[in-house]
Amino acid sequence: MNQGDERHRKFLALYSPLHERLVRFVQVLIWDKEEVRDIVSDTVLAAMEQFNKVKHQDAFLYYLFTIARRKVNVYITRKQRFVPLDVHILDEPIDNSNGVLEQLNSKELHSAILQLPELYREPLVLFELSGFSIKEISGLLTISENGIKSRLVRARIMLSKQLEGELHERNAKNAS
Amino acid sequence: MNETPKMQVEGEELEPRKTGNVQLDRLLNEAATMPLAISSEEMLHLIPKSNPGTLNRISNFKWIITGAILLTGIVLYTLLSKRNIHTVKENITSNNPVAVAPVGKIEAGTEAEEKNSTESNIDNKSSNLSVQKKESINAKEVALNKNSIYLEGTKTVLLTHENKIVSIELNQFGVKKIIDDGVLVSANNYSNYNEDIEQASKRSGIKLKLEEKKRLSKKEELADAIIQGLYKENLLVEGQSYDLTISNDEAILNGKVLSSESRKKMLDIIEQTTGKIFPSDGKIHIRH
Repeated sequence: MNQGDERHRKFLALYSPLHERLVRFVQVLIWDKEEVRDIVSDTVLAAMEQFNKVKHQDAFLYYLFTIARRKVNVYITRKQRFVPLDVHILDEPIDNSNGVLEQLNSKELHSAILQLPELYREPLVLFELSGFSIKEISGLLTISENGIKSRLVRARIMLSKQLEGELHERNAKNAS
Repeated sequence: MNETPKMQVEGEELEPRKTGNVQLDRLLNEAATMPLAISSEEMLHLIPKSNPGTLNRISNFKWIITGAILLTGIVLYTLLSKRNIHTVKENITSNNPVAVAPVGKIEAGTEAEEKNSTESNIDNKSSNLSVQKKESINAKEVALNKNSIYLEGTKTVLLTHENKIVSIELNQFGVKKIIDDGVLVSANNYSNYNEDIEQASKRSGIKLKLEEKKRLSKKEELADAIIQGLYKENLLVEGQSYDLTISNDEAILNGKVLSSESRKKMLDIIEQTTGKIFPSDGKIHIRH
């Protein structure tokens, strides 16, 4: 087995267990299937190109997701012009007494997640959908574990409010 | 379902998709179990096409090419150093600059300036052996550039931009071609694609040569200095678009000929920024 094959084998061994986590991270933020495929492919190929720089196997997770985050953020910045949520929204209690969220679907979840500021969006997606532990997110984003927890709690509150807002807006349009 | 959700509070142990809000959990669970846009098997099919082994072989191939270029360079250097100064002069004037301008567009000024400066060196000191050797080295670089373009290859990067496809063909010496939604972009308008060029450079792994970066940086610095001068002289308002042509004989800003005094001030700025005397037949064109 030559050196290239050995590296290839090592890469696959490290990448395969992370494939689903990577795709889920990208697809919930990008949504468009073809774009997701492109970005995942780009990420993997970029990761392979510089694979010899990864000295420790434990670092591969951070290495791979750092590339993915960069590519996703570039895409979002180029495609989306979103207005961050008002911070005071966090002070308001969650009201789902009418069960309004029942009527929402995954596409609207995607839109609502995109409306979140980046510092809340990334930890939320990594934790809820990509199977990252608090410790892993802390390592990836170089933020303390307590900081990550705070952001997650806030992100969840903001996401609920955002989803409610989207639904009310949709209902208002339908009524008119 | 009527329900008052209880969002988890800071300090509690967090668990994925257990927010305390049943509906939000449902949506998150749906997203977490959605079919993958690209399966593991598909990805594995993609990987062997350019696996690290291939990349390694490409890398080895690059070393062979680099060695060949260096060897060619040494041979050319040896040959060119024996040729007379006129041949060298021809080689230098045939060098095509790469047309990428970061801020405004400078069409001919710096090239003319470089050419003039080189020619004056040759004219004034053609009998000086050390100067001849120096120019021979420049000629060698020109020859190397031409070879490298073909040997190292040019990459094409496709970028999607507002539902349009922008194709950027570049190599380490700069941008060769830009096609925006099927339309060939004039080199004069490359400055409008700086962000895309940067993106293409990153995606293709092509790094612009240091000399090219320096040249672009100098152009940017010069364009900035001239525009600041126009602001200072109240000839231009910030944010206003401009089309400025300056030569020793006249300066035209947005179709209007500037006064002799203004033109001299602009020429002073150019000379101060470049540290060189503005050539008699030099011309600078900036627009934004």
